[in-house]
Amino acid sequence: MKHPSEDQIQAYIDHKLNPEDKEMVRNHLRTCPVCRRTVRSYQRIYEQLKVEPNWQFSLQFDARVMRKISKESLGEIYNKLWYALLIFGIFIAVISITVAYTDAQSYLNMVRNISLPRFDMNWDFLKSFNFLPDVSSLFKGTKLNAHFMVLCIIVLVVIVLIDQAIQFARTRTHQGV
Amino acid sequence: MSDVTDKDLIDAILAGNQRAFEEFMQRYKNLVRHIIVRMIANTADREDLGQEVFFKIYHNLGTFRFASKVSTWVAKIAHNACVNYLQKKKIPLLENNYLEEDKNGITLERFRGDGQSPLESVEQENAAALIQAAIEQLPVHYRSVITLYHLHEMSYAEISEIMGLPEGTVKSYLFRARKILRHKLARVYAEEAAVT
Ligand SMILES: [Zn+2]
Repeated sequence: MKHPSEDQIQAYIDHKLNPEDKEMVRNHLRTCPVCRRTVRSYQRIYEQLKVEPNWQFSLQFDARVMRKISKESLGEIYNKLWYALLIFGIFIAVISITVAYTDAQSYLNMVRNISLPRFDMNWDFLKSFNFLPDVSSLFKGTKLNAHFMVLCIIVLVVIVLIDQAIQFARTRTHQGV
Repeated sequence: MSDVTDKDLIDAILAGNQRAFEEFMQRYKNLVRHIIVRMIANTADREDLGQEVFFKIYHNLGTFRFASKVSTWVAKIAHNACVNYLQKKKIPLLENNYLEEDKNGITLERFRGDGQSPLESVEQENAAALIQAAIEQLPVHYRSVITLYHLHEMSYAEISEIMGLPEGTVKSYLFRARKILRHKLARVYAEEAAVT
């Protein structure tokens, strides 16, 4: 009587034999106590292989991972702040340069001797929309002035926009669109 | 939250929801733990490796394309972290985990009980302990294969992807590992050895 190989017996327990071989092994097992014992010892091993290792991570495991991750995302916030600061600096520089040379006409006249056709923008017409409160009057007598407040708001908006842009870029690379 | 799909969970994590990552960690902690426990003997380093694995998962979540199951991807990261660790420590992945046959013999002797006939003296409990001890002595790669196959019911294809080995190799490691375990067990069950 030829015994099936151990590989065949393992495959039999795994349900990985083709129907003919399965039938062959099954018939053999009916008549062979030796192979039946082999099957039994394999079954015992299979049972043990299903037993979970009992070693566990420490109770602080989750908290430690989460702390490490939050620290990391804090790093990202710092990165964003750094970006915002940089942009803020550029913004201030641009503003101050523009303020210095608001009158492009005279600037160009000065450096290049070019004269542009003159057109005067008169912002006085805005005063006819009197639904806007006279903001500057609110700051009369204080050291704050309306222009400064407007500048602050613009800077804030710019920071928020940059933040959003970075976040958008981040999710896009993440989803790999 | 258990009815939330992995996809939803990952989207939530990528949107910055850290709670979602805690849930994700709960889902895959056992898988990562089993891989690490079976590959790394040093208990002090297991904790650090586990943290490293989840940190890596968090970082690379954005690159995951759902081309494979999340479990396969997670297992691969855990497996690679362990392989790197073992290589750094110059621990071989395919050699037996014991030095000499003698030492192994002593381990088996311990389970032989007190002089009664082997089959009776080795109680079910002892047999279980023996098999668990024998698993620990298998080569690292064999231990990984049997863990993924038997404990997590993964297919050859999945295991092959996780370990970066051909399916045929995975299959042969699996069959050889179980054969080794059986023969170790048979040595204790002297009666069985006598018949074969
Ligand atoms: Zn037989």
